[in-house]
Amino acid sequence: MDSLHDTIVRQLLEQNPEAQHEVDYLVRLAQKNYCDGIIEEPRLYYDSLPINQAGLETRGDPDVFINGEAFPVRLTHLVMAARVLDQNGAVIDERFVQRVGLRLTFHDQNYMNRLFTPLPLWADVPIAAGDLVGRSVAAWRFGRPPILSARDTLQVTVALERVPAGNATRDVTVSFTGIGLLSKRPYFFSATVTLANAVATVLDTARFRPDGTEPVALTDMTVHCSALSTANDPNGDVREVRVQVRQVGNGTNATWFQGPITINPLPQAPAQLVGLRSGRSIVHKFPGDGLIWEPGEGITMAMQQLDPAITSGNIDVCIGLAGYLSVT
Amino acid sequence: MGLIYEPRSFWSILSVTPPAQGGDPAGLVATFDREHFRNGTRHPIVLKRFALAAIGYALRGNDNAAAPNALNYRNSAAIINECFLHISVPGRQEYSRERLRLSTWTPLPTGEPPGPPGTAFSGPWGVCVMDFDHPLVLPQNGNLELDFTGVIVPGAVFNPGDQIQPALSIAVKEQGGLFAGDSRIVVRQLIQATRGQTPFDPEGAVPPFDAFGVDPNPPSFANGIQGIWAPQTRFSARAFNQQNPNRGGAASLLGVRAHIDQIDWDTTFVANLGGANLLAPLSMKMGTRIRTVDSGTKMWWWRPGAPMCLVFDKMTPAQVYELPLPITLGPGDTIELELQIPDGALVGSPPAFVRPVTNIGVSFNGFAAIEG
Repeated sequence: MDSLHDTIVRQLLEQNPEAQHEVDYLVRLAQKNYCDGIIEEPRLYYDSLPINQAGLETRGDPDVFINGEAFPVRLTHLVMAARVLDQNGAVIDERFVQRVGLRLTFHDQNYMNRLFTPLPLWADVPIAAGDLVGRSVAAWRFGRPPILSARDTLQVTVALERVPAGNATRDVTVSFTGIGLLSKRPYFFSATVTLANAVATVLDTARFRPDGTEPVALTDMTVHCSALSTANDPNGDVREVRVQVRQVGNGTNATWFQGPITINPLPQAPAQLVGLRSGRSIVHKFPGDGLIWEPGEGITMAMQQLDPAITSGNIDVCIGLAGYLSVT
Repeated sequence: MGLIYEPRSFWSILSVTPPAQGGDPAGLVATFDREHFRNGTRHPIVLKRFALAAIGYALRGNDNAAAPNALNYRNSAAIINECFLHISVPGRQEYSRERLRLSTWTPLPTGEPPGPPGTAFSGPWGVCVMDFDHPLVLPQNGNLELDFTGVIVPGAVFNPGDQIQPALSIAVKEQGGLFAGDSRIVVRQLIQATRGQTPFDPEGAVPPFDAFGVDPNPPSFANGIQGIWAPQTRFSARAFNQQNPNRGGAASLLGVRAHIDQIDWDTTFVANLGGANLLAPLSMKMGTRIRTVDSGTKMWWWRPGAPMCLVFDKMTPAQVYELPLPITLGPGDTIELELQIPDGALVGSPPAFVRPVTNIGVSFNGFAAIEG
């Protein structure tokens, strides 16, 4: 009689129609990893680059886009968007990302070109959600689902980008969707906090703890930021919030989102960068299976203002490399 | 001997002026030029998707608060919501018994995310993306040649001297290298803009520069315009070859992307026009043509002049429908398309019967399989 592991592997190899269904595939993959003792965790390396207005290159923090862990990371996507505030604290017209160019350098090879490529030309993943929620939500379907073990939880930290005016507040919600590895039932974990200032706040960890009966494969993560409580228009803006996640218990216990900690520390990632599946960021999928980062390897990011008239103000662009870490 | 694959599209635009009140209701149905969809090559062409869009409009939605009149009543790209389409292969097969409302051909998610609430701008990114169904393999000395047209500036909206110049960037994606890919690019070339006569082309007489609504067979040399393929928006084979990162062998191309920066156009348009009109992306007005040079078939991938939004169908403002099973057109085969346009309405004070001019574009997109 086959073991559970053998059964799963055989089903994967047979590529039966059921296994080809995306979520089902992810769950089977998680089960296989669970049996093999492989830990896979999402990773997002992010930075915020103030674009130089004199047309000079802007380079990010050298500590950010580097694999500082002892395990390989596979990068699958690049994601970028305008921050909500520019370098002078004014709200950015997000269309001005059209006038910024980007170049990646990895072992002296440039991508996508040695010239700076305008950010919209990097977009190749349609990510527009419905018009009613598209501005306020960012969602990520994990390429490799992390396992939330029976006694684990998630530490989710959120912070607003700026203090709401007057007595207004914003509600910030972070949700995870998962599937039980044994029962195959869906799990929904979610917590909301009302924020009146820009202080980082940890969401209630009890909300992200499974009921203890089985491990859960997490398939999706969603961040929502509501409108100001005093606004007539209920359209939220996910750019107003930053988010950080860490698994407590099993897993690596490292933060999933890794950003600058030295020059201009940004301990939480701009939430729009989570929008790899739906949201309002430019999402680029690396060709093929993506890029492997061995420990210590890194990428150099450089951006440049492409508009000679410099009408786009002192724009800040946040940028992230997303993928997953494999501990074998 | 294997197969080589090149992208192919068949496209057409139907500009229909509806009959006056009391006219023949049969005038509300028109047939696209069948020859525009005929496979005139020696190769079978596999069509996997079709794209639908209202072409040539300056607006994608009209101001509901403004008093309706002959100029602003449903005179925008949103008219696509009111049209119906019937598809058949002559003498062989009809794909439906009735004409179907265009928007009910299940749209793929191809759009950009919304911009800030309350803005009338055309979109946050201005990008169109085409991914090839099969990699296009170019030999060592093979190249691509890409051309884009200019646009008509609605003369009654923009004033002489307005800073509205849109800019075009192009990227051709290919495989190879440490990143498993790279792109050959052209960055921020100014798009040739020609002043038109009316606020919302294609209404009325406009120079046939981008040819939509007036002359479906570009290029045209009327009004002193020297052809529609402006040199600054050309990605020439020479420039394409200069960026070849792989001098030692073949290149495998995966797709093309185009970005139009129309921020200044949008900002000035909104300021000058006022009201709550929604602006259309310029990709719904600009024509394209692409072909291989020094390799492949050297044929244009589609009849030159196809609106960018119709043939760049992965990310586009057009509506894209994926056929459940591809249609294969053998040499000489064609498709017949029948369009039903909306009836008119009594609008304004005193009421006048108005029927909007309708300008609908359709393209069938796929690839040619060529025995090498």
